[in-house]
Amino acid sequence: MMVRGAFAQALAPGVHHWFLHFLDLQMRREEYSTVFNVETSQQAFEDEVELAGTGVMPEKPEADSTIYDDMIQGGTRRYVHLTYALGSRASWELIEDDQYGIIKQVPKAHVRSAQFAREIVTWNVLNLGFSTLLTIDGVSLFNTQHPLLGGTAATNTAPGIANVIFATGTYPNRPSPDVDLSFTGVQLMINQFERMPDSQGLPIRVKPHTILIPPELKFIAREILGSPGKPYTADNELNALLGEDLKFQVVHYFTSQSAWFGVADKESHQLKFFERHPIDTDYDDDFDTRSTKVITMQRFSAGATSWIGTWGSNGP
Amino acid sequence: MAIAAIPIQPVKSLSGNQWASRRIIEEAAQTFKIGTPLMLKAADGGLQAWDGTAGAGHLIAGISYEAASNLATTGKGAPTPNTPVLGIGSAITFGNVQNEPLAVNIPHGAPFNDGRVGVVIAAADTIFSATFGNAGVLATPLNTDVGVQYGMTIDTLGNFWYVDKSKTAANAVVLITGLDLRDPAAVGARVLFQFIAADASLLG
Repeated sequence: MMVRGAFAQALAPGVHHWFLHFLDLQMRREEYSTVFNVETSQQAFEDEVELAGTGVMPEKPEADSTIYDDMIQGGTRRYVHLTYALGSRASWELIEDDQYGIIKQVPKAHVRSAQFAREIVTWNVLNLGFSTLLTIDGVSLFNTQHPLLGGTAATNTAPGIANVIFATGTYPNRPSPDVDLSFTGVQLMINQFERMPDSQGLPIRVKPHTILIPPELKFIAREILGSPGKPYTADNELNALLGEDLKFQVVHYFTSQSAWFGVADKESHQLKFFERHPIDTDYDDDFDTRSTKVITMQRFSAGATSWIGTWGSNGP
Repeated sequence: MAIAAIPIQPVKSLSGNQWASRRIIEEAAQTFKIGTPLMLKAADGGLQAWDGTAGAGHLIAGISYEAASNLATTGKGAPTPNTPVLGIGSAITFGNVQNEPLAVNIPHGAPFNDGRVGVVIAAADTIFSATFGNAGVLATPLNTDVGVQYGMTIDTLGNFWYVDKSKTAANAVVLITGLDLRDPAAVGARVLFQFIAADASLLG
């Protein structure tokens, strides 16, 4: 409950400027929507199912019968929308005596809180991607051994991955051990991206589009990706990463100072945000006290259907 | 003899406000039905079916308003602060997924699950309604039962709980506050009650 005693400065005119955090410190550009695929939902939850196509087409010897192959239905990933809500309450006397109309602006503060909620919840998909956030294959989003629906046949089919994988029938989107953001680390990421197969072992030829980093890694990222020559050497070699056209994006909601991530363009990965109900504010008065209650609510979910098109290293 | 009890339900509050309810992580391997008295497991805070014992260590958290989901682990998949649901989103799966032993198939339309279960808090403000019985036999609640403290017993037919007139004194957990006027006076009519504060673990 907000009452006059806690906002005494608002009761008399004369304050030149109220430094309102929720207005003067503007909420900057939305970050999650630059990476996550944003969709809407009209249901309590959304189910997504994976389906692998057929494998390699083999030669058919003369007069021999054609080999038949089946598509493979994979698992289910369910997005359950959660409700996020926040309320504030102010006394009738405070609202009436507020000389600056500040208290009435609490919905704007709520919106800032709501926007932070959707940012942190969504980015926690990556923050928790090394541990508790699972994808449709049942293992963590960033894993050294994502099982492929095609199993051993898939890794036998996929060209040139013998030195990339850590176990047959699986494919990594995480190094082992984890590596720092570095020139060689980025090269390792690119290699794992370029060799990435689908569930039957057919190369999908996906490329990393953006490196996602915490603020602490901004300077290293700029050196690695922007240096005209190979960084950190005295030789006059070309910086081979320049040709990759990689971008980097600082994400202010990463909890680790050393974890970094790579994502393909939006069409090539399955990181998702479902908007079930947009940010919505309502208010009412309490009859007995005439205090005003303001609540702001929203419903959404976020997650990763598949690991394909993503890559992560939890620093060393 | 056996009783076919009606699930316990909240019917009104003394304050006139919505009765207090919460959704708390569900203990592993729970199969309780809606209308079941629940207690918190001390070891991990998960909600589990009340064990029928009154007193310290067995305090009642409230009455379930959802059936349990028989989770493999306590609170499986429950969101933590600032996260989405971390589990697969349903407790019902079928078959298996080729070469992906940890992946699951969720039947389309299967109920969603977030690792939590709903409980109407056993607060003094909330009035519940339950079938009235006496040691395994349906009984007729009388005006003389109002204001008396009784215990609760699970029936043997539907596994729902009823107010048990045979349990008194140290075995009592509820206070009868009235007769449920939806039912004509007869054996098995429902009574209104509130939980005794000393036997409740959550206050709202």
